[in-house]
Amino acid sequence: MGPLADRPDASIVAQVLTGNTDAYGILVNRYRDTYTRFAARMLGSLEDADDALQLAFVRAFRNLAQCRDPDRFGSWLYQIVVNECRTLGARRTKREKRLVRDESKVDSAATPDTSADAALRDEIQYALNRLDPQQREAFLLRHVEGLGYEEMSEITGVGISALKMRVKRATERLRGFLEGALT
Amino acid sequence: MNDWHNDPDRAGIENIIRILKKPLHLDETFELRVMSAVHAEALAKIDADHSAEIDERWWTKRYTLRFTALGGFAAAASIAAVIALSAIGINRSSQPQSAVNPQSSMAVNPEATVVTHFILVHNNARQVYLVGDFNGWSRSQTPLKRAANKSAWTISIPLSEGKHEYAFIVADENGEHWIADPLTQPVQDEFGTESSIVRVDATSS
Repeated sequence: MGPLADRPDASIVAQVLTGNTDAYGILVNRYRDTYTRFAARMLGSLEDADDALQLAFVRAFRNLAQCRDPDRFGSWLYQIVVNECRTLGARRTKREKRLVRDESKVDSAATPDTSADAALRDEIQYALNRLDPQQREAFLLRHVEGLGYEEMSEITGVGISALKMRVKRATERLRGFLEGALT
Repeated sequence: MNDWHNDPDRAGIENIIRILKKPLHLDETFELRVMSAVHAEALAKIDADHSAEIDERWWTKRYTLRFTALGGFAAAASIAAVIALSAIGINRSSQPQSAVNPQSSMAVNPEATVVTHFILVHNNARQVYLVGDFNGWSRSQTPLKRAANKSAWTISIPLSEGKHEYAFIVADENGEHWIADPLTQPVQDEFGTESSIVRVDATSS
């Protein structure tokens, strides 16, 4: 069998459960970037995304034995990430009742703003922040992360018809918010 | 195929998505920080094995359930009650919360924990899960067990003192449904989702 880093999730999960804690780092490395994008877009800041993902990865490790289908570890982890984002998002809303435009600077914190899209990117994140969190979550999972509705339903615990409605409304509202910016 | 392939305005929304799809990266210490916390968790699990005796105590402790009258709710689809039962001291000081995030929902380190019994009566449920701030709203972490009468689902878990928010996820033939405890006055969180509140007080048990 090849290097551990090349093996499927289930094999690595088995390694971790038998006491090879270091092997968990492979799973962290494998899923970190994908879930960073979702969490940062969802929460509006890389700092909050960092918090959410730390909590999610540690919680997943703690409950790894309850992952019923280790072949689908990524999907199981996604549920935990979504839940952490909900919790942190709610806490942030309580902490800061108002939206400020500085929160939208997700990308500039990560990379220098050299892209011609920079201004539009800030506008888009600001518009995302204005969405209802449920709509934002559904929109990001569907159109940014490219998930199908069945998988979204599994991850979020929300019915497919409700998810479709949330995506539709999110799209309509984003169009409204960004009407001027997109022309 | 996307959801607006026939939409004349699709270019605008596709432009939004194109920009949102650009990758984002956390700083290079992220993995190190996570693995530090994970190793601390692994050590804590070893410590937890020694506390198995304590865990067994709260499951075997004798207690009396205090139900509200269920007869009046016979026609209702579901009835639930949450009852704080008994207080015991569980020292969880070995948990490495500070390694993760001291302000997180995981950073609970109570001196005393109250065993709290959750019961949901639901005639059509195939499975019921308890979700709350105490388990990170994890759907899979706290499944209820079906009682002998087939309609009641129960679980007893130790909760730290203070206010906890929770709800049930009921899986039935129509899918999964999030419901607040029917016997409580529901609260609405920032997402517009209804949940319930239980206040745990070790001194009154």
